[in-house]
Amino acid sequence: MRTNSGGLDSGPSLDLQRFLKTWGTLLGFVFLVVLFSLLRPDAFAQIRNLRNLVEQVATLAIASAGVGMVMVTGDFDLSVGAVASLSGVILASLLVSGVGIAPAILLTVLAGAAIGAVNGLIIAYAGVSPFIGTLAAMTSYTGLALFITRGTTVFGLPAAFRWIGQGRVGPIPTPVVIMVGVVLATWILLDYTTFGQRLYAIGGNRQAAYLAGINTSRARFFAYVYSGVTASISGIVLTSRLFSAHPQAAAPFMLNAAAAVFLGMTAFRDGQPNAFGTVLGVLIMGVLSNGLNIVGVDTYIQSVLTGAILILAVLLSGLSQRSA
Amino acid sequence: MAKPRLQLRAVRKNYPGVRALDGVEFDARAGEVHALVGENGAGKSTLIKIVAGVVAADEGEILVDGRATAVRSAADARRSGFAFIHQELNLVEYFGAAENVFLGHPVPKRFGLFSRRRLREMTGRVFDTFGVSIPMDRPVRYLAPGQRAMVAIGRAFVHDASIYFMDEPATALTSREKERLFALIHTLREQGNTVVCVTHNLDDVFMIADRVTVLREGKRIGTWPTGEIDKDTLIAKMIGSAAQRAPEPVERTRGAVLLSVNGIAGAGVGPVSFTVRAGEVLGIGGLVGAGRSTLLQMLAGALKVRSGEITFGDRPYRPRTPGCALRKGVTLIPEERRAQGLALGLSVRANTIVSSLERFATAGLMRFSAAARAAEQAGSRARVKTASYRQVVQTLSGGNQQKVMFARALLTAPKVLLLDEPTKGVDIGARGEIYEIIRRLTGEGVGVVLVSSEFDEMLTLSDRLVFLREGRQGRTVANEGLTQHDYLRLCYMGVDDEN
Repeated sequence: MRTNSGGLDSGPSLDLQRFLKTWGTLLGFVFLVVLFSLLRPDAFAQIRNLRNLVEQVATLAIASAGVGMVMVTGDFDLSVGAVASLSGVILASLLVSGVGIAPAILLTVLAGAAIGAVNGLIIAYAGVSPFIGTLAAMTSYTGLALFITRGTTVFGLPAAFRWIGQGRVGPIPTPVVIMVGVVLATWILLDYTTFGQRLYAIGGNRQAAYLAGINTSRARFFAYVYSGVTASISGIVLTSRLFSAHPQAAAPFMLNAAAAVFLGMTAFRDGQPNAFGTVLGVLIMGVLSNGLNIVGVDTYIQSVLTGAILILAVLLSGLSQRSA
Repeated sequence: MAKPRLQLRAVRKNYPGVRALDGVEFDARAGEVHALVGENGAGKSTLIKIVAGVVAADEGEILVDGRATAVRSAADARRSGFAFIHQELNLVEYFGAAENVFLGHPVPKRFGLFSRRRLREMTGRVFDTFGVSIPMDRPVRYLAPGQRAMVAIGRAFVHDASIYFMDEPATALTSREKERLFALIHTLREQGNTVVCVTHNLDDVFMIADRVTVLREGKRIGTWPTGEIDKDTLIAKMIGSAAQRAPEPVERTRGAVLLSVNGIAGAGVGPVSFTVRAGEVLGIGGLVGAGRSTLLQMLAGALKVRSGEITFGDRPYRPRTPGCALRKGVTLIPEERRAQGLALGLSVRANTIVSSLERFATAGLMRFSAAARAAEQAGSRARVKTASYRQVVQTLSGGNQQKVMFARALLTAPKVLLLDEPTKGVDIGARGEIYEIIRRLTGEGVGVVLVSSEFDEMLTLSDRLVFLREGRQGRTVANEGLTQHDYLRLCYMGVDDEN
């Protein structure tokens, strides 16, 4: 016989468990910040360094927002890195050929949306599995970027373009402002619109969502479009930061964005990707890489530790016990 | 008289609140096909699970060739020579027939290496003894249902099984495949094996079985040679005289025709015609596998209608997706609430409002307070019991989960409600509450189309009954003074059959 939940079952230990499940990842983040601050108060805990750190992770955070939206439906987008790189290449080519900054940016974002739409068609409508579909797409987009640039880096961007990636709005770096904008937009879309409710319903049980009347193909399609848009915005910011466009500049985003979303799934919302969780995931990865650098840990060992911490976070959050 | 190969003595099994098996005796002989029949809940599945070592009996013993045998696990069952062919055949979909047949068996080697050719030869010999041929060059996922069943039987055969338990083996088979399967069952019998066959299909019983045992409410009613009993008597034994009562009459004012279905066909079902009126419950009668769920899914836009016409109100109705159907006022509560109904990891609220999101949004932005209020209202109308609407649906009981499905349907304000097994896996208390909800809805003029494998439920709730038999239309009758006996007979009757 099963007893009713509540009553005897919900002792203090269960509350603690639930507390850790919701806030554990955030506590882990705070722990990392405190740890590095204590280890190197002179270098890590400086406003300058922290501002630099946030500025560094902003591009990944922007791209991860879209990947998170795709992952809410239970799908996957491996092509973000390639889309961001390709967007940078498209933008730089437009700028170099004399197109104005504003129209060039607009065209690039539209291109990002179109690329996302192609992904969406392949996966949501043609029914290719997300993993294979975006992996194949990634290969093609990378090839396209290499073809456009002939494998070289595009230089010679107009000086005014620096502001996007290296400027300030008051005391705040422009990339951070853009990141906050994208994250807020993602948060509103996911948590406050019918679109977001549909995405979560699809992620919860796609067949059930379909039978409940949701146009699952359309919702998944637009999640990919959104991912294409955020990837291209991320590519634009990155191009301005580097002040050049390399056809594979954003390649590491492919796995880092997914890792950030996975880390974020362990925070706030029980086992589902969410807008702020993803930012937290990006920040954890940023603090780790920045802090380990300052402490003087070998770069290669940093990768080893990042992977281990991702596994640890998933194990501790109990996410591993969920199927799928 | 042949000695029993398998004997069950005084097997007793209680589940909390239910006496599943109450001192059941059963025996099956070598070279015999023995059918096991009974209504849902009669104890057939429990009996099979005990023999399979999946559940333990509270009392009683299993004897093989007169020796008491302990069956505590699937491995014990296999050692005793038992083989089970379930509806889910447990095949490795990407392997070929030969690889599946010899799965878990030592494989033939040549020069120390696995020899696929010899494996196929050996498998071919197995199928030859059955007199069937199965293509071996393709994964079993591409085989027809009948061929897949043969593969499962072939596997049991190479594992030296001598007592075969088959659970509804002929469901999902075409009539030709069915003939082949029955021929194979005969072959197994000729070779001295024992076949115990659980089935709903009484025609099959008379076609293949030597003897038939009837279970009812956990008790063995009797065992008869199939030559000494007829179908009607068998039905009477299955239902029992006590259960032969007319359902309580339901007073209803029947309204205008809502849905008019004219000869629709698709996915192996049809052509079927019927009408659904406002304020009535139309039961779709028939046995498991008759195509009733398929019919509901066609009406709900989840399966394609290939031909025929549907009129809804006075407009043609041909929903392409469940979303189209919902917008027109046709709502389905699907059979598999966990697989097809609920997002188990999401909250009660999210699951309740998922079909009505647009109603609680302005320009795409959710109005959560309105949605929460409406969800709680619908929930209380559907008698959902939950500590909080933020609670994850997974934590609710089966009955409460089903009521969440009803709350969702209520929120869509349906004109026609399609119910597929609405009380499957639901406890008695919740069942009563669900009946109450259905009655209230019809009182409000909703037309309900009901599919249930429980005769009792069909007879209690339905005003009229349309029967399906193997995908074809059978009789249409008013539910006036029908007994369970009549109902079961109607399940077997074609549209033109004499009474």
